Amino acid sequence: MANNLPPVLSALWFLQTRSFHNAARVRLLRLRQPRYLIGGIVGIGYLWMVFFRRFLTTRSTANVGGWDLTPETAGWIEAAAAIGLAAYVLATWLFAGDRASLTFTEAEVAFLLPAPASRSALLHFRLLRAQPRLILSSLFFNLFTGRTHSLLEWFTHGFTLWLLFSLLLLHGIGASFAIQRLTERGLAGWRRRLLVLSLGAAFVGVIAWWIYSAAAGAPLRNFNEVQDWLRNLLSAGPAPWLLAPFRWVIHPWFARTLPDFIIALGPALLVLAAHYLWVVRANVSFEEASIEASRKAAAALAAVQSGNLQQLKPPKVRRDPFRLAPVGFPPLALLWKNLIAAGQLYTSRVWIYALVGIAAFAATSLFSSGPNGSLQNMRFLISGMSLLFLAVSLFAGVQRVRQDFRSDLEQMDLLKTLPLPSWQVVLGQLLAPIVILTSVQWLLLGIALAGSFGAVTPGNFSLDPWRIPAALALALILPGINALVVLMPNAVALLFPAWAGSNQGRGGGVEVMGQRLVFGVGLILTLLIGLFPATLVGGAVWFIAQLVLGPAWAVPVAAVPALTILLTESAAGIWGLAKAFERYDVTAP
Amino acid sequence: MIEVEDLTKLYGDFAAVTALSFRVQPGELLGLVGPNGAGKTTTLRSLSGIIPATRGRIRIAGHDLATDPVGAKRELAFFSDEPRLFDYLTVRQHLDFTARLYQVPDAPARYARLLDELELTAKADQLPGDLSRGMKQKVQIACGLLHSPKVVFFDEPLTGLDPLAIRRMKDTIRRLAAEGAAVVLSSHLLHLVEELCTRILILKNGSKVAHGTVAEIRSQFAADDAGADLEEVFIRIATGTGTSVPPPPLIQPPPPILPPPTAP
Repeated sequence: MANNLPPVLSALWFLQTRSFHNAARVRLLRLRQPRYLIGGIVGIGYLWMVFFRRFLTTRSTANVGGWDLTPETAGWIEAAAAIGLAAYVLATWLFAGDRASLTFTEAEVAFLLPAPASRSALLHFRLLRAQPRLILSSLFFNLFTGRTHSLLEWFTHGFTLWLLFSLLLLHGIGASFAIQRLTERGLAGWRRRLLVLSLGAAFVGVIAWWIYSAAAGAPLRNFNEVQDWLRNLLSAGPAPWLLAPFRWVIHPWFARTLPDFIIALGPALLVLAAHYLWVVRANVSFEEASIEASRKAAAALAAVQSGNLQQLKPPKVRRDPFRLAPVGFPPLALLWKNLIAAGQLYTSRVWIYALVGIAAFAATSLFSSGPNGSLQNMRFLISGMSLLFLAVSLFAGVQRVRQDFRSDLEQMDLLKTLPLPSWQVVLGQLLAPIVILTSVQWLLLGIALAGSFGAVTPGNFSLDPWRIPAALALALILPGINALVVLMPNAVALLFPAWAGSNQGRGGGVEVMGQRLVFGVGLILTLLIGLFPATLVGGAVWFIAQLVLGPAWAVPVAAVPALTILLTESAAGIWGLAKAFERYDVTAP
Repeated sequence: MIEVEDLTKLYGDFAAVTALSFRVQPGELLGLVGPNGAGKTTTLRSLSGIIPATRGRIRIAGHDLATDPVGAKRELAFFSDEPRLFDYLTVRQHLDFTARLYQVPDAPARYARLLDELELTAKADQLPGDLSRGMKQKVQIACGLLHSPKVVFFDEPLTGLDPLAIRRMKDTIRRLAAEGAAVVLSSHLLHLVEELCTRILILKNGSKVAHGTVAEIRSQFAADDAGADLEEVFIRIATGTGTSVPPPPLIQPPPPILPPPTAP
């Protein structure tokens, strides 16, 4: 190792410093492009307003910030975190593959594995290469969680986080090495998992035995008794001993003074050192599995960067969403294609099952006895959650459902050769997200409606006259809203294709975060501007219709002209996008 | 069938193609050759309506590409060097999709024949990810030929194909021309162009430098060498030397390691 480590370390140093330098240069240079400059300004402004400004202000006015946990509360949090860490470690051993692997980038595999470096040198390369990311993660986590902390807390929390992340990295590597050893001894797959589960069960079993034998299992009558029972469980018997290594790692986080922190750090560093020795001394062949892991990591990164997370899984043959006749309205072919791309969820069979499910849910709602039972509460909760998801889907849904121009930017030359007027190509490409979002929202609306029967409402207000008309109006208006919402990201994809998904290989950064903020605000503004005339006309129609039909049934009547306006706006948008599609240059950088 | 007048494509101040004019008749096979960066792919993309021409007029089977792009595109097929298929559509679904876009009423009967001819029947329900590159190329061809195009563009059609697939691709190209299609193919493989094409158009720096049959071009650029083949002529044109001396090799031979023997 001594012979090999220095050249590898110097290579790592060269790689990291040059990469950092070049990445910084690329990012600075690309600020010459307005889209990055605007994104950068917005991103920095956001970080300043939300995090740094408050941190600096707080630090200058107070020595101790928001660290106001009582020792008892801190104890509970520490115990919960230790249990969470134990569960994470158990999951690492349960779900890891059977072969040892270190995740390198594909370039590192190409350069390092054939290089004259020992296995130990490669291991150190991997451990050290992870350090900048671990340190940055610790800093950012601190930034998000400790905006009002004192300088000492910034340091103790940051250091503990770094220690925890390093330990998790080492444990993951060590576990994968040990699992390979077990595999070589015939304990692979389910046998190994059975062994791990048995150890986990023994862990829980020892505690359960203590509870039983120490008569700690007496019936609990109120929250205070539950609290006392848990306190006893965590402070006496086998549980504190079994959880001790996990608590050692977390304990420095809760130190209130510097001496406390230094004392708490001792056992945590011991655990870290033990892990380091465990990993370094394991002489396990990891190269072959590392190549495969690197390939998968590169594919995953490409999928994330392109925004097409479906690439993470190899595609499967999917059933046609509907029968596509060879002759007919051509944009339906694009809808058909994009629905296939969206996955098996969008076949008619799935939707029939969903409708049957809602009908059954509605039936339990209608025929259940008693308005205040727990079943009724549960139904009302599901109903409320469905409405909440529906509201969120209006803004966030379009970011998840991307089966339109955003996922076909690489196929633009193919789309450009289609013998269709541009508006038909645009319409066809936009239909899939509109159909998908509307279907999901109708489903959520159906669940909300079904769960609302028998709901208890405050005062004299009754849902009964409003329920059906309001749901009908919402169902009518949703396709129009979705058509409007889908226009915005597709306009970005056609007018500024680089914004929509060509950040591959260039990394994220504060300017990309700013771009996303600009995009989000733009989406909300477009929606509000688009909704304004529809709301105005809908309101006027409602005012007249309610004189004849009453206030409730006037709502769906008002929804019809509102929908017409939304669809007219969308048609204008499609006409504009068709012009952009005609001008779209597949060869432009 | 293909009429090109004064085609110009500019990227800012850079002219990728300049004032290009030519015609391709039904049954004719035009080879588009030129060094890297000569404008071959830009020309093909402009002709197939993928990118708009900055200037000039393109007519495909009588349809003006600028004023009637839909009519023109209905008559053409463009085959890129890299088969671009949708990851999540099976071979059969690709054909269903193409049939609706090109409005082919008898599509099922046609693609049964195409799948059979291209030996794709057994692969009909597989995804592109399960196919070799040659197979993907065949799927692209099946989709492109489904609507019986009158004009066909091939961009580097033999890239990445094995010898058997090359033979089949050449047969397909010949058959298309024999059936009356106007075919334009762009390739760096000069022996392929010489073997298949009835006429050749040589581009350099976006401009036409030669257009005609191999014999006509040879007489124009290598009249002093009756045995000169297309490669010979191409090198003369590309290097602009007017001689058949080949350019220096990219990799120079290394200097001798051992010192030259000295006289005793």
